[in-house]
Amino acid sequence: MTAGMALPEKIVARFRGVALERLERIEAGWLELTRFPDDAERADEIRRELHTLKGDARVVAFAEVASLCHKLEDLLFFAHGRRYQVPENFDLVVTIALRFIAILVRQKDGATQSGIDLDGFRKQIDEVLRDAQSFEAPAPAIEKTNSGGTHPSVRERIDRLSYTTLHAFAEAATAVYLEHLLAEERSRARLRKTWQGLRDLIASLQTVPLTPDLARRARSAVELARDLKKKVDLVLELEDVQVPPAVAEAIGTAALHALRNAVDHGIEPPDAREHARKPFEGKLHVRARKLGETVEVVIEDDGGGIDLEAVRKRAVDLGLLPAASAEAVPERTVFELLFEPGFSTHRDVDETSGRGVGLDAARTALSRLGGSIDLHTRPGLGTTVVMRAPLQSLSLEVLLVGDAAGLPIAVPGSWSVAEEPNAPVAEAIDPTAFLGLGTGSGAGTVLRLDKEATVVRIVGAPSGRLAAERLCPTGDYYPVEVIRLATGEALLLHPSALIKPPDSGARAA
Amino acid sequence: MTELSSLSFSSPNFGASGSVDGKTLTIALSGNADLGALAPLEKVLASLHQEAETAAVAEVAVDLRKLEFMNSSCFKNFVSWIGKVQELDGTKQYRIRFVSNAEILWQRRSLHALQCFAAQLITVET
Repeated sequence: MTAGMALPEKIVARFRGVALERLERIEAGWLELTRFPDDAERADEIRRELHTLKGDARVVAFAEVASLCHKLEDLLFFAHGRRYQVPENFDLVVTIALRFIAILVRQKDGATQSGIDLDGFRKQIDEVLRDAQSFEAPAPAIEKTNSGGTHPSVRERIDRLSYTTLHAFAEAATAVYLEHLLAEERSRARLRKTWQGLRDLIASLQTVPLTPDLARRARSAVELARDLKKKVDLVLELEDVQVPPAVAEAIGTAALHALRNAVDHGIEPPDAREHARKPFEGKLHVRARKLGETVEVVIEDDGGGIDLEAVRKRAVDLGLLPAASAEAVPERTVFELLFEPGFSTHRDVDETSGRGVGLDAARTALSRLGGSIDLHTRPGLGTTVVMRAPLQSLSLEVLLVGDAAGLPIAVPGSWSVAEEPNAPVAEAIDPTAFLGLGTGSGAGTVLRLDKEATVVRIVGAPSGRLAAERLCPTGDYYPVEVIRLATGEALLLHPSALIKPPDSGARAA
Repeated sequence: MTELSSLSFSSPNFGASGSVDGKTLTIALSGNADLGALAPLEKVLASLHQEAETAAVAEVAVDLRKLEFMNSSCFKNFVSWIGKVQELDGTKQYRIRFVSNAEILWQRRSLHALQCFAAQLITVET
C-alpha cells in the first residue's frame, strides 16, 4: 500500500473526510431501508455512495477499503433483490462491514491494523450470503405448491431457532400429550388438539422446502447462460419436498456447481449446436422428488457431455493414472477422478469440459450427510448429475417393554434388553410411576436395559420388536417421546434419562 | 466474587447479571434480546465498560449460553462496546471472552463476525 503514501497528504485527508461522511450516509440509509424497503431513491443513493467510495479508495490506493466496499456491494445487491428482508446476522455483517471500512479509512494507508481479521471477515460475508441464499423466503408462485398445514411466517425464520429451542418445544408438546392421557373426557379432547397442533408446528419447523432454492439456482444458471450468449430452455419438475436445513444447504451447494457446469461447459454455444445438428436452444432439466426416506435431485443437460479422453489425459499429466495403462482404465474409475479435490483447478476447465469444477465440494457436502452424487454422460448428447440425500429419518425399531395409561411402552431397538427374574422389583424404575401416569402396577419383572456403558433397570415385560415412527422427537436427555406403531400411538422411553426424575413439566399431574 | 448491581437487569424476556472475581469481570445474559432489550442492554454494556475500567480487569467474560436469541440491533451494541475498548490506551484495554452455545446458530455466526472485528481482543469459547 505504498502507492497511497505517495499521494499528497492533503488529498488523502480529503478522501478520509468525504469517505467517513459517505459511510455515515450509507449506514443511515441501510437502517432506513430495513424499515422501509420500498424507498427506491434511498436504495439508489446508498448504492451510488458505496460505488463512489469504492472508486475513490482505488484512486488513493486504499486497496483494502476498495475490496471491502466491493464485498459490501455484494451484500447490498443481494438485500435489494430481497426487498431488504434479510436475516439478522446479515444485517449485523453489513453493520460490521461499515465499521470495518471506517477503521480502514482512518488508518494511515487504508491497510489492515493489527487485530483485524479482514480475510476472515470476507469469508464471513461469503458464508452469510450463502446462508441467506439457502434460506431465502419462497417465491409466491412456488409457495402455492407447498403442502398445507405449514407456517410460512415461522419457517422463513428457521435459522433463528436452535435445536435446543426445538427440543424444548417437543418436550412441552410431550408434556401436553402425557397430560391428555390422564385428563377427563372434555379436557382430554382439548389437550389432544393442542398436542396435535404443537406436533405439526414442530414438524414444520424442523424442515424447509427444497423447491424454492433449487428453482432460484436454476434460474440464475439461465441468466448465466444469457451472459455467455447461450440459449437455454429450462424445464423444472420439482415436487414439494421438505428437507432438514442441512440437506437443503448441501443440495443447494451441489446443485450450484452442477448447474454452473451444465451451462458454462456442457451446453454448447448456438453455432456449435447448429454444427452438431442439435436444436439451437440447449435444454436444462431439473427434477426433484422424494424417494422413500431420500430426496433425489437430477440435473440434466443436452450439451456436449464429458470428454473422457481429456479427463484421462489430464489424469496422466497429474500422475493419477499410469500413462501406459490409462486407456484400459474403466470409465467409472475415470469419472471418479473428477471428484478428486483440485482435479480440475490446475488446468483450463474447457480441456476437460470443466466437469470437475467444484464436484469435490459437492460430493463432500452431500457425503457428510450420508448422501451421494453421481455423473452419467453420453458424448455429444449431454450429462446427467444425480444427487441423493437422506431425509431426516423418523423411523426406528423399538422393543415393547410394557404399558402405561393404556398405551404400549417401548425402548429404542439399539438397547439390549435382558430379563432378571431374581432381581428385586422395588429397586427397578417403574415407568408408569416415573412418568407420573399412575402409581405403577408392580407387575412384570426387572428388565436390564444395556447400551454401551449405561445400564438401567426398569419394571416391564418384553414382547417383541416393532417398527415405529417418531411423531415429535425429543432429545435423549428427556425421558419420553410419543411414537406411532402400526397399532396406534405408544410411548418411547429414553432409558439414559430415566436415571434422574424428569422435570415436573414432563409429568402428568 | 462480588456481585455487581449495576449490571443486573431482569424482565420476563431478558436478564443480565454481573460479578467480578479478581481480574475477571463476568456478565451473563439470558432470555431473548429483541427490541425490548435494546435500551437495557445498551445501559448494561455502558456500565460494564465503566466497571471494567474502574476495576482494571484483564478480562471480561460474556456468558451467552442462556441467551436464546439476539437481534442485530442489540448485537450492534456489542460492536460499539468493542469499538470503545479498541479506543482505550493499550495498557487499559481488556480482553473479551464470549462463552457461547455452539448449538445456537446465531451465536456461532455472529460471534465469528465480531471476532474478526478485533481478533486480538476477542476469544469465543464454546
